[in-house]
Amino acid sequence: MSTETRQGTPGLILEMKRINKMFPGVKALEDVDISVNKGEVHCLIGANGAGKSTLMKILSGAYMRDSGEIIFNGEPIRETSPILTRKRGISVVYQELSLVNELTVTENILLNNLPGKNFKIDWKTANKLAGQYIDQLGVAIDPGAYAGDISIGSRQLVEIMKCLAANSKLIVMDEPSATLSKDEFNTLMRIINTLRQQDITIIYISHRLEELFDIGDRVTVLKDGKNVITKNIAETNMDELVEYMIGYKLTANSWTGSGEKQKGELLEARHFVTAKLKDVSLNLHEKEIVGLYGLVGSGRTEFLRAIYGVDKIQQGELYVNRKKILPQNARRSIKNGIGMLPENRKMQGLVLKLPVWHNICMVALKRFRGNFGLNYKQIKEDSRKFIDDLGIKTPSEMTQTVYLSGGNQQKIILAKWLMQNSKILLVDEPTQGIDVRAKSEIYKILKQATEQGHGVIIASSELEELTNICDRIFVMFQGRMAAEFNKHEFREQIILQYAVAGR
Amino acid sequence: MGLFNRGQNTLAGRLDIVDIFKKYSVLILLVFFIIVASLVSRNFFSLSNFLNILQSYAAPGVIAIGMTFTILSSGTDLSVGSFAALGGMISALLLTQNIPVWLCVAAAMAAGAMLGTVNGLIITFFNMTPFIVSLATMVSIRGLAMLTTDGKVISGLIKLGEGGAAGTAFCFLGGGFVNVAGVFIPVAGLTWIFLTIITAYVLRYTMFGRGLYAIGGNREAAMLSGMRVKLYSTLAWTVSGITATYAGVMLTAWLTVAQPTLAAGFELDAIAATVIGGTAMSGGKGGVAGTFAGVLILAIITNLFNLIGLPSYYQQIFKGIIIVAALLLNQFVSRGTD
Repeated sequence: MSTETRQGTPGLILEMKRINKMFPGVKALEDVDISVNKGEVHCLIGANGAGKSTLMKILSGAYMRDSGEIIFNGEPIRETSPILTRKRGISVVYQELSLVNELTVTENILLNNLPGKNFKIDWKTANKLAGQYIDQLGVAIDPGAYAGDISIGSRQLVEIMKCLAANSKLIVMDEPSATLSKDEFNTLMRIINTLRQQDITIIYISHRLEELFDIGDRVTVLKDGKNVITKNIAETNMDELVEYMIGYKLTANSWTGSGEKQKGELLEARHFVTAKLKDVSLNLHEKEIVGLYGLVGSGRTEFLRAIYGVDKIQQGELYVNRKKILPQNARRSIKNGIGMLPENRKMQGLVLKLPVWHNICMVALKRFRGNFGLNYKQIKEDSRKFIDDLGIKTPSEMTQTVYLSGGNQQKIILAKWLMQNSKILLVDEPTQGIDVRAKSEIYKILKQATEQGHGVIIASSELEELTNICDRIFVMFQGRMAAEFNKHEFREQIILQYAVAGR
Repeated sequence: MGLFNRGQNTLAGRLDIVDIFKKYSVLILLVFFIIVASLVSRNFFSLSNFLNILQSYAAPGVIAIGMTFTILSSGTDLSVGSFAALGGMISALLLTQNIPVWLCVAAAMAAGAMLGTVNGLIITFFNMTPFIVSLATMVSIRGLAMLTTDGKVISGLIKLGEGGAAGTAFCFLGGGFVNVAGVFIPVAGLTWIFLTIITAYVLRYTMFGRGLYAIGGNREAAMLSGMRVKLYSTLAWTVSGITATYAGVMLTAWLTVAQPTLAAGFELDAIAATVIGGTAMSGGKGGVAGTFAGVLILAIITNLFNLIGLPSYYQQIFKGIIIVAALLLNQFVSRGTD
């Protein structure tokens, strides 16, 4: 496979060789190779943090590679940018679709090159062209319908037609099946087959291994930013793929549900059901840190948001201090002693325009009301105390929050809930995009909080961090609870196996 | 853990100086216009001219106070001009029915509070665009103001009541003066200053005020932090309704004539003043002191044009250009913040 000509290997449409990418403190990709045959469906799998997205972002031009070689269609690619990539004939369909809901299907498909002349769009030709792409996939979509009015599955197909209109030779599909119904999924499979017959190559990223056997030709497995293996799908099976992903032999496990309920429970969520959650339960004791592990899309965030009451549940019961409460909204949850550190700290956790003190006192602000309104002397004093205690690096409490680093911003959100003294902390991806030192400080703060009686639930995709800090770990798989482990049972490969295979 | 000394970060230290400059940029702009105006016209820098400005811009200034609330919560209230007209009409109409002055004014403000709340409720509970909702209420409430007298003006307000007592008391609110150590200061101007101070206090020292900043800055984060997002957003519109109707009362009292076409187009000046004053259209940033300065800047521009005798069409052209220039400067100063 390694004929070292500048023109690449015949029969291959894409070769990425010895790709390296460093992020601050993390080696995201180390000498990763992938070679894709023309007209095949090449699957790319790996657990959280394996490097799939990073590799694809380098291919699409969203990230710059540190070193390595990319050969597409026989031509080495040096400069990359999303626009150049698209022009070369590589398209990526992301999980969050990029259609303009207010435009018609036709307009979306031909967005960048609507036919016409003299500043006048030729709608007749446009509709005909769009119709051709729709026929090419053999589906029934009205080209005149607005993208916002058609189903999610159809929108995804329109996204694929957009790639065809851009004359793409290679289409990367990132978790295309995550939001599809069974029927829509079958249509997608049929269409991928059609594309393969038309000599269009597809890189298919998915967590759902069973799908690969329906559709894939070959599969490349990544683990911890390195190649594990590339195999023909026909020559492997599900268990073997799981083993490659977790790096260990599969073991026969059978989790039969959490055993005896222990006393002194701070929080218990029983049988939560939402659109994304299938009967999940969890309990949390005082002074305990519980981890919530699962692959992206397994329902971790949804579970935390449902407990916090910002996503409505269809069924389920919530007990705080063994008292039944109804998860309703953030205000009620805060009164019940629950706090949430959301997944996206810039968009959901902080008001970046406001100074540090304001964000620290955001929840507990009421406490500072005196006879003449808010007592700023006290506000500043208490804010400074938290700035010092948590080691928040800021010139002063008056500095605008937007100027602080990610780690310090996360500490401000922690300070907000510690000031409110929320006994139950729901923490979603607390260390995403944060440097190693700030990571360990954040975990230290959480640990100290539990010593003072707080209980913490951490949802994270970093298993190693969870096994280090947690007392128990719950594993979610495709919206259900797959397993629960106590500290003495923590074995990374087994936890990973449950997250990847659900058994 | 106190490993990190505050103030250690030199980059952030430099940003602090920029912050200070940003904080006072409106004031610098105001001083700049005062100096320019003083140089251009010898008549500008005088006590009587300042009092004149205070009198003429009190009503737009009070409207802009309410505008500051709605813009901080990331909305824009286009209906303030119509609210002012309605406030003037209601108070004058009641005055002709021999109703006590205080009740006339209170009734006008109550109507402003009620309709402002309706504005707010529609926007927050149906999640509608503030611009459009207040555009619609602007039209409807103007119609309502017309309806009160079938489009007619009510003149001679000052003569109402026994021997003109009630009318005089009413008109004192908008056109009266208070003798402070030999200087006759317009009541309307004092009201404007007083309301600005009250608002500055509310914005800084109450949960409502701080909540507006949080909501305007990031609605979702405010909601997840348990802020009363819907209540506070609605209240901002209530306040705007009250200040606009009271401004209408002041204007009517000053003119001694109630007219349903009052204050048409005032919403644009109020928005311009608020934004020149450093309040971000996206919300969550700014304050009422800036709005006060913003109104003064607009006032000085017009005042200066009048003093030098610039024809009114040219005035409009240059006023527009200067507003854009001032906003550009603002944006330049606060660049890199968002």
